Amino acid sequence: MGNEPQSLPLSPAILHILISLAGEDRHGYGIMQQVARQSDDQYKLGPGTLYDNLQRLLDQGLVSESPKRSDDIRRRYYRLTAMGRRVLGAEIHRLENIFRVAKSQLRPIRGK
Amino acid sequence: MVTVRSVYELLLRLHPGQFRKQFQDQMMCTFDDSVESRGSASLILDAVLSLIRQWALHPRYWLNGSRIEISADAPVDFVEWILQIRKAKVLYRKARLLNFAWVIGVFLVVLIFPLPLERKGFILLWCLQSFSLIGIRERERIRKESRDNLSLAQDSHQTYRRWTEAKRDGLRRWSVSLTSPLNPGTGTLIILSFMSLVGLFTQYVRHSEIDQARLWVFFAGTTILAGLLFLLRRVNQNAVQAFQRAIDTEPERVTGVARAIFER
Repeated sequence: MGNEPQSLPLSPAILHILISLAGEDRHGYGIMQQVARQSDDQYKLGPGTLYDNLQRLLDQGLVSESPKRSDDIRRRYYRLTAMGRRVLGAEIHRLENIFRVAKSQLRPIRGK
Repeated sequence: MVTVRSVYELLLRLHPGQFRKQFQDQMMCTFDDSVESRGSASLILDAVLSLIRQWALHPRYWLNGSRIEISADAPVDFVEWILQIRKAKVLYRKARLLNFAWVIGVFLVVLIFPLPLERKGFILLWCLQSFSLIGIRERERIRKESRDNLSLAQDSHQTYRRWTEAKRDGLRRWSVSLTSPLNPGTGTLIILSFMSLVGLFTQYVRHSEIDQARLWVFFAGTTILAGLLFLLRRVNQNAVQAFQRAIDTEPERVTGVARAIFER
């Protein structure tokens, strides 16, 4: 797993960006749309927040630029790196543990 | 006419150089794509927050970025650029524009400040008067400096070297004066910022008639202006360092460039 647990927990914005890139390479606007879709419009990223986080993810090597290009030359596509995938996996595993504990704590209350 | 797009573009231009290089085009593209669905107000707010985040929370990006942008590539080219704009007097125009923007900023801040109208008028008059005096003094100093430099024409190498060094000193003085409390605009801002803090404090201690929201807006405005000033100073300091490096490492080329520009 390398050093990835040190990056955890991920901020909500970074978690959503990584999840949106897990399926396919996307450009900035594509990531914004996918984040809105995957959160049922509960979480909306603005371009400033998006590129601020992308800058950090690129620096940390969790995301890289993809060679994929579109008609608009201004667009750049991004993809999850192998390390980014491992970090996302570790974060999901961490969240699953929290949910498991939370569910086990809530069960007796439901029973009452 | 100023459009929302141009305001957004301006906000992006205010971001640190490295961020701009990497993301400005992409962000403009994303703005074009999302302005209808998101609404312009939320995108502008997002850009303002991004601007604050980039300058306040990520200094490692802009500190490195500004150094690379100015000095690493070609210091002599940078000197040539500075000397050219001096020759064309564009720098003066830029300085005047900057001063004008600064006065407008101070004007707005004073206007927001909850003081009786006649006191606001007095403060504004003082600020404007001081700015015009500084402008006249600065122009006189530069004229005298140019005359002194040209009077040394017997030794042209020395002349151009001095001219370049005078330019460097001008940049240095400008950067220092911007953030000096003795600068009338900066001094006024510091005093008013302090007064707004005192106002906020008394508002909490005993409920006075001063509008608290206006005080907060005023305090935020002065703080942002102060941040911009320190940023300008930082960029200028980097420019001065780059200038000095060029003079030290390639003096012959620098004076050659200066001569070519002067004789053009």
